[in-house]
Order: sequence, then C-alpha cells, then structure tokens
Amino acid sequence: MRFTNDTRLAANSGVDAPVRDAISGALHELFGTPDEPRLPGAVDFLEVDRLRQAAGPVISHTPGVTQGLYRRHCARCHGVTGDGRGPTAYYQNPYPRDFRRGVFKWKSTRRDAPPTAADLAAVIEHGVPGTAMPSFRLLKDDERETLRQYVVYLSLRGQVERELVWYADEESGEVTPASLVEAADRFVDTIVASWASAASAVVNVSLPDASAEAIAVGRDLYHSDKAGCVKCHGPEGRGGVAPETDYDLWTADRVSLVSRAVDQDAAASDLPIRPSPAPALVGRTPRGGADREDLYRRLHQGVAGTPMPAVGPRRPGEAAALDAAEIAALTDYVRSIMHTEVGG
Amino acid sequence: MSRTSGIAGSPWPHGMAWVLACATFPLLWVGGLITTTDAGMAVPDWPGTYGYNLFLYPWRTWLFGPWDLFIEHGHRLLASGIGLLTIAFVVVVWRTTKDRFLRTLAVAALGMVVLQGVLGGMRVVMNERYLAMAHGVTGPLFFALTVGLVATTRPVTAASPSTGRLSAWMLPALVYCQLMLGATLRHIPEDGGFLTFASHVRYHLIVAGVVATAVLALAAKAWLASESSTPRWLASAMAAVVAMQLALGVGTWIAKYRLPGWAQPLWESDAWDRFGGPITIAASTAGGWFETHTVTAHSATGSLLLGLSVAAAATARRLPETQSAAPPTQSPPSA
Repeated sequence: MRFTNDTRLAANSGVDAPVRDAISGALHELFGTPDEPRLPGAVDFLEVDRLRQAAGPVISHTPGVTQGLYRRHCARCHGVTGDGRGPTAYYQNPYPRDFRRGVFKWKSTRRDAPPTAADLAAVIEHGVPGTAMPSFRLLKDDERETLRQYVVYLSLRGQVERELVWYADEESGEVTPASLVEAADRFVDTIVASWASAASAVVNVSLPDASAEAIAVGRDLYHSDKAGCVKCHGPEGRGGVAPETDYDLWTADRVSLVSRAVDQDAAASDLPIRPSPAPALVGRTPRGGADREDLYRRLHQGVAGTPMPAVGPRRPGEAAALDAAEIAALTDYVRSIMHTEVGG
Repeated sequence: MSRTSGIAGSPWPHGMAWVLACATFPLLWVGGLITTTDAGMAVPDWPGTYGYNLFLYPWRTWLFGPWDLFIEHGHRLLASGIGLLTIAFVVVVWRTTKDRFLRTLAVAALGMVVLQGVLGGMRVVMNERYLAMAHGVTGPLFFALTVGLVATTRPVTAASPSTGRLSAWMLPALVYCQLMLGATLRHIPEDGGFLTFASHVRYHLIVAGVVATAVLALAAKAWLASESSTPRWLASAMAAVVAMQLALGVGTWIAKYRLPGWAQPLWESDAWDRFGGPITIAASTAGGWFETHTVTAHSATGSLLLGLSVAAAATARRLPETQSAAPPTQSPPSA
C-alpha cells in the first residue's frame, strides 16, 4: 500500500510529472510508507513505535494487542494518506477531515495554530456530534493516543508535501529527491516548531457567571453590525439567510482548479464540491464541544478552515471586533439559543 | 431442485438437516460480528490458535481474554462443529437412503463447508481482505444449501408435489446478488476508491428495492390469489424479514455514517439535530452496542432472507393445470 500524492496541489502549482516523482521520493525518504512509517530527525514529540502500531494491515500477534489501528478505525473515512478521501467519504456530510493541511476545526488554540494533543485526543474520544466521526471512547487510552500520534504524523507529511511542491515550483535548478530532502529540513523545523508550541497558543478563557443580563447583551451584539452574526446565521439564530457561495479551506483549492479549467479529469473524479453555508444555530448540537469555554473559543477565534471569522484578536494585543466581556455575553446568548427547540 | 417430492423412510436425514440449518445460522451471525468488529486477524495463525491445536487452546484465555480473540476462536470452534455435523449428515444420508440427488446434495454440502473452512484459513494465513469477502459470501451460500437440504429431505405427502420451476429460483438468485453487493460494502479495502464504494451503495439500494418489491408481490399473491405456489406462512415470513432488513439497512447507515448530504438541507439546522432534538444527539460510539449489533443483524438477516427464499423456491407447489401459467418441468426420476 502507498501514500497518494496531492494531485490537486500539484495541478494548482503546475509542477510536472518528473518533479512530482521527485517529491514522492523525498516524502518516502522522510516519512516512509503506510506500512513502514518513519520520521524526520527533527520530530521528537512522536513515538515511532506507536506509529508502527498504527500503521500497516490489521493483525494481532499478541492477544489484546492490535496492529494496524489506523486502517482498522480511521482509513475508510480519512483515507490511507489522511486526505479525507477514504472509500466511504462520498455520501458523508460533512466530508471526513483532510489532515494534510494541518488545520483542524475543533481546538483550543488560536485560529492559525495547530491543535494541542489534548484537543485531538478529545475529538477522538468524544467524536463530533452530528457528523460521521464517532466516539472512540471504547478503545483503550493507549490505542487512542497511538491514533492521535498517527494523525499528527499524516498532518506533518501533508504539510511538508505542500511546502515541497511550492519549493519545487519556484526552484529553477534540477529537482531530485535528495535535493528536496535537504531543502525539507527548514520546512520540517518550522512545521515541527508550530506543533510543538501549540500549547502556548491556547486561548485562555475566564468567564463571568452567566446571567440573563449577559444573554440580553449577547443578543443585541448578535444582531448588531459589530459582531455581524445575524448576516450569516439569521435572526435569532434561525438561519433562513440566503446561502452565500463560500467555501472552506479544503474545498477552496479545488474550486480554483475547476474555475481555471485545470486538470478537469482530476476535478471530475474528486468528491463533489460543497459550499460551506452558515448553519442555523437554534437547536443545533455544537460540534466542537458544548461547554461555555468551547463556545467562547469558537467565537473568539472563529472556526479554523471555515468562513466563520474570529470576533476576538487573532493574536494577543491585536485589534478585534469584540472585547472579552462582549465575547462572553455573545457566548451565553448563542449557548442559550442552542438549547432552544427548533421552530415556534 | 427438480424433484417430485421429499423422501420416504427414515426421519433422520430431515431431522439432521434441520439441526444443521439451525446451527449454521448462528455461525453466520458470529462471522458477521467478526467482520463488524474487525476481529478477523485476532488470531494470526491457522489451523491452530497461537500455536495451540484448535481444540486445545486454553479455555480460560479464550473465554476471559480480549473480545476479538474470544469471537474469532469461538467462530473457529463453532465452524468445526458445523463441519462435523455435515460429515454426520452425509453418513446418515448414505445409510438411510439411496436417493442419488440427496446424496449428491449432501456431498456438495460437505465440499462447500470444507471450502469455507479453507477460505477462512487462507484469509488469515495470507491476511487478505478479498478472501475475507469470499469467505463471507460462501457462508450464506452454505446456509442456503442447508435450507435446501431441509426442503429436499421433508417427508413425502400427496399434497406437496414440487414444480421444479426454474423461475422460482430467480428470487434467491436476486437475494444472493444483493448479499454480495452488501459484502463489497463491508469488505471495501482501506485504499479503495470512494466512487467505487458510492456506486456499490447505489446498486445495493436499487437491488434492495427490487428484492423488496418481489417479496411483497409474492406475499400479496399468496394472500390474495385462491391458489399460490408459496405457502402463506412462508410468504408472510419473507415479507416480515424484508421489512426488518430495510429498517436495519437504514439503521446501519445512520449508525456508521449519520445522514447523507441530500438529507441535510444546506441552510437549515442540521437535520439530525431536528430529528433527535437539541443537544441530544451525541456522536455514535465506534464499536458500541447499537452500531455493532445493527450492522451485524443487517448482514445476518440478509442470509436469513436468502434461506427463506431458497425454502420458497425448493417447495414451490405445482398449481392445478387450470390455474398454472406454464407447463410443469419434467422432474428427474428418484434414485
């Protein structure tokens, strides 16, 4: 079994077949295969033994110890390469996550930062309500940790692939696997540093007690131009706003391919393109956690990879649409309507 | 099965055929559980279990060890029992009747159960999912054969001449095609294409509609016509099973993949939330009770429907000349 290259990325960049082969070779050297994973030297926060347990076909050589955990539990949706194009992806809504961008929606960190280990662990343990992502709470803690590390491994591989493609596209000289492996050092260092420092990008939350007054303030903010929520999510969170044709990060580059009539065959054989409309909030089960802290972060930083914007500062000290108290009030209002019955 | 009727003489073949059929169905269910819980490679060797003789593996480790070991080793033990039962059936048939057709069927059953065992063993030895699928579709075929043995060994009565109509076998053939389509969905390789899976889903749904329509038509004819080639109880059982199977199919999809895109209007609240109410729908639990048993029940019920449709075809009565649409086919002479 082999990893598949990101053909859409290659088509968008315009790199030709020999260069794509060189990139494949470099990635093989750096990250191995779905059966025999390996890690670049700079990656010290993942354990190769765990990756080896997650990789490969499903089999048990010792009672109670299962190899091939990723293929057993994840690959049919997320794909062997983690590209979100597993065999069962077509009819799922939303599609399974493409790990290769290193972007995840449900996390506690700033919008442009990777998730922490705890963020990914929570998604694996609790699942994502309203989607096909199940809870894996019945697995052993150890197995869930193994899966989490393998997901990060696939993300790292995908992110390095993206950097290599853009590097190769700009490189005027000959591109070989060896030259790409050498060039990859600096990309790997930067990417690894961002994952390793994710904990420092956590959005700290300090919420006052919820109150009817805060909910009323939040309702006014929701319907104001300052927050602008009503423009997408509709009055009182009931939706009904004509859907704008907007796309999430994982779809945007495919839309670009289609619009530029680049590699129509690849576009035609890919998952159907879906826009990302803002959902109605009334009665909706929050997908990234229903706690006040979870919703606060959802508003503060928006939802990474989607058109849902941040109303708080993207980085400490930056200007923002709302301050902390206003975001807290908006959180309480949104949370109150998400407890409300639909209709009426 | 182009024969005039059941057999006369010893009740043993019929009794043993019933035992064999009734013992095989739970084995199919357990096999389905193995696929659902991906326990097929829980024991990496064959025909032994972790180096032990199959029958000598420490029972405490088997019964109180990990789930996947319990179910896989248990499946092998149960399958061995079925194999021994099948051998006993062949012996009984050989000693109680000279009916050549029945003897041939009995030997065919033995051949098929041996083949099934080898397929299961090779699946493990080669760690090959396509062999898992072959094993998965041969089991129901064997079960269908045991049902045929029950029909073939039933006591002879004057009121039960069978038609030998080939058309009666169209429904079991259709059900088996549907079962195989389901097997391709269950055993899709991890690097399989999503367009392939999606097309198999569509075909599976289309054939489900055709099977359901055929079964309901059969039931309607059994109840509304003055004479029917299928007994009412059997036609009703098939209709009930097909209704249950449709519900299980919907349950299987929702358990594994939640609602498909066309069921979720783009600009309204998540349809699943509207159905289940606010904050009531948690994520499904992988390996949880609902998912595991709904999916497995859907697989096993397909085999049950296959068995019932074989029973209907094997026992399809010849209607009186004035009412039958086609001349009866010629039956081979009994041995």
